[in-house]
Amino acid sequence: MTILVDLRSRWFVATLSVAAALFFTGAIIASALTYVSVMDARQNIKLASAVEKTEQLPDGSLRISLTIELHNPSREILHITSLSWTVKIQNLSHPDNALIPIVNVYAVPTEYAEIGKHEVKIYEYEQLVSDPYTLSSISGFINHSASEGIDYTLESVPYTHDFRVVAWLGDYEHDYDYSKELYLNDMVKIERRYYGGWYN
Amino acid sequence: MVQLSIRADDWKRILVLSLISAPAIAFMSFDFVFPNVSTPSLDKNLLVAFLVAALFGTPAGYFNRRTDHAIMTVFVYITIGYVIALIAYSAPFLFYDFEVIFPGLYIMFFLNMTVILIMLFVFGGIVGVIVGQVLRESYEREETAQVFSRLR
Repeated sequence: MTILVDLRSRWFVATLSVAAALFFTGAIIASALTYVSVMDARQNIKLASAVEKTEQLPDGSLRISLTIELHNPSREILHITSLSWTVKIQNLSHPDNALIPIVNVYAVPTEYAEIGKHEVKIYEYEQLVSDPYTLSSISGFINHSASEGIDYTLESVPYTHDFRVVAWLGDYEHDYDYSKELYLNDMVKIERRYYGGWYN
Repeated sequence: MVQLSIRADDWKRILVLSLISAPAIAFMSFDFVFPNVSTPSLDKNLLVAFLVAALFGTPAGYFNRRTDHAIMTVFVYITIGYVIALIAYSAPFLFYDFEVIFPGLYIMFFLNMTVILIMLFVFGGIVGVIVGQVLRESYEREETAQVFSRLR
């Protein structure tokens, strides 16, 4: 092929061109693998093994707790930006306006809380409900349910636990403001939720 | 009217030169869609993309004596590079079993993000061809001058 003869005779420019081509080949392969790793993290980071507990204490107050695991099987470090845990009693016939809030815990780490690669983080929350207003609201719900033929105790009331975690993946940039580029933020943002026994 | 033809040997030349320039086009296209996960990122800087496109158009002009072949090389390497970028964009779904991130507008999204870039690649490539040909002619003139000075 005459091109090979040409490349040999103009070896300096040919070498520079081939070196640059190799550099960009490496760059596209490395970038595609990073992209795969991000997609892997997006798909496989999950909340799991939630354990809800409710216990009535001898003084009439209520101890309510949630233990939940956040699994990070990916090769990316997870930087947690916010965590929230709420518990409420939900009237299923009027889910919007008939709520009794029981617990509301919201945490924004002042520094990034990290979850390493292939790591499982266990979150344990516990709250003592002794405030008479909340306890009387729960009693009101129990009495109302009894009038409709459903018997609950303080421990067996269907408390709805809502746990949310928001995190960023790795050190990838995520402060794009333009509406056209918001997909870049979404790409490296992880939002997981445990709500009423369901994992999202 | 003169018919300009492309022989088999010319196609081989075009293909070899395309393989040199296509990776840069592939990387820049991919980087333009996902600047936050690619390394080293051009950060959607169109001027830098244009300059790199012009730089990678230079071999097409430098190693092609005929301008029509050089321009053809530009179109071929942009096509190959763009296809490689699409493969990289689809890598998690082609080679792994991950969910498609934008199921509705999967290919359209990529085209929409890079359409201006393609035009810039073509323009940059043609500018690079001109620069490459000027360099080659200058180089050949220098060679000829040296050969004749030795004969004297």
